[in-house]
Amino acid sequence: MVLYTPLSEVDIFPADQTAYDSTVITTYNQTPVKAFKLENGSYQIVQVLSTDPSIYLHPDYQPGMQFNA
Amino acid sequence: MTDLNNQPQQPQKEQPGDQPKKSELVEKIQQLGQSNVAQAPDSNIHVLPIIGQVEGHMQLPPQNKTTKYEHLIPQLVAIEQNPKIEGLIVLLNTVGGDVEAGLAISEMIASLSKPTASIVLGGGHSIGVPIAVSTNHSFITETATMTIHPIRMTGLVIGVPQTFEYMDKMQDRVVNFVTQHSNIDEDKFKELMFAKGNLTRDIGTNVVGQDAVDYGLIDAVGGVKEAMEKLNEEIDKRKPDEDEQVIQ
Repeated sequence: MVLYTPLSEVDIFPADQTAYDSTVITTYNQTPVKAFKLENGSYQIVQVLSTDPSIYLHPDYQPGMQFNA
Repeated sequence: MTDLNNQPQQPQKEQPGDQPKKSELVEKIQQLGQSNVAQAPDSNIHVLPIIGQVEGHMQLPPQNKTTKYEHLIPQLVAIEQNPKIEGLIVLLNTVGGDVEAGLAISEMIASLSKPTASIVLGGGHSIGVPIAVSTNHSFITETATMTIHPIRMTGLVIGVPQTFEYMDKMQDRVVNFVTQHSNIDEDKFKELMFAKGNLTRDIGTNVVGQDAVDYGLIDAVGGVKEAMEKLNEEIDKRKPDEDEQVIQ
């Protein structure tokens, strides 16, 4: 199938709603983070959304770290 | 702002037969792939990354890297309010995106009272151009590119002449912002925007590093070092003169 259209791909093939639910934007010690919600109720950091460069070097904020909400 | 020194300490429970030191290290390696991370002192300069696509009113699927204005705008207010923050660096590597979200971010950066600098790293395309020029000083790395082209709309469009007038006005808003915040003149910017042959069959121009500086769009070619030097220079200028304070 070849589509020749000015529409963007997401307009034609909308993403599955469950894909949006896998990550949430929450705060960890007042720093906004994008996190993956684990089955045990805690969160795993996917991305830090802070403007403070020192946060990115802080061990507690590395992607993959877990924290409790 | 998060004060890293005042975080509540997690109580360490020592259980019999448990080896907390070893398990902590193993856990760290499992989670991060490394055992230790470098520490940095508190910074008086904050960094605002504009990455991926600038997201507008429609949320993009999660596999897209996006810059969300609803995250950035409160952060910019916090930067303005926090007396510990003395400067801001905007890092751009964006393909562009929503015009109104991009203009909102640009206007917020332009209206900050603190010294600001931007660095265009890989690409600062389309709506990345107004964001790049919105700072006091703009830098572009030698290999970075910026695509200047007319605005486009995808999705459902109401087919009435007013729609095209609206798009024309939206185009003017972008052109006006860029010409007011950079040294490029309107005619030159429009010439680049509607040029033929540069982007194969599309209209527009892809300007690379030094070209952007030659056109007056960006202030200088440079990276982190140049931007930090410029920001520190501006911050020092704003500090009250110590000699004057002593004489009373």
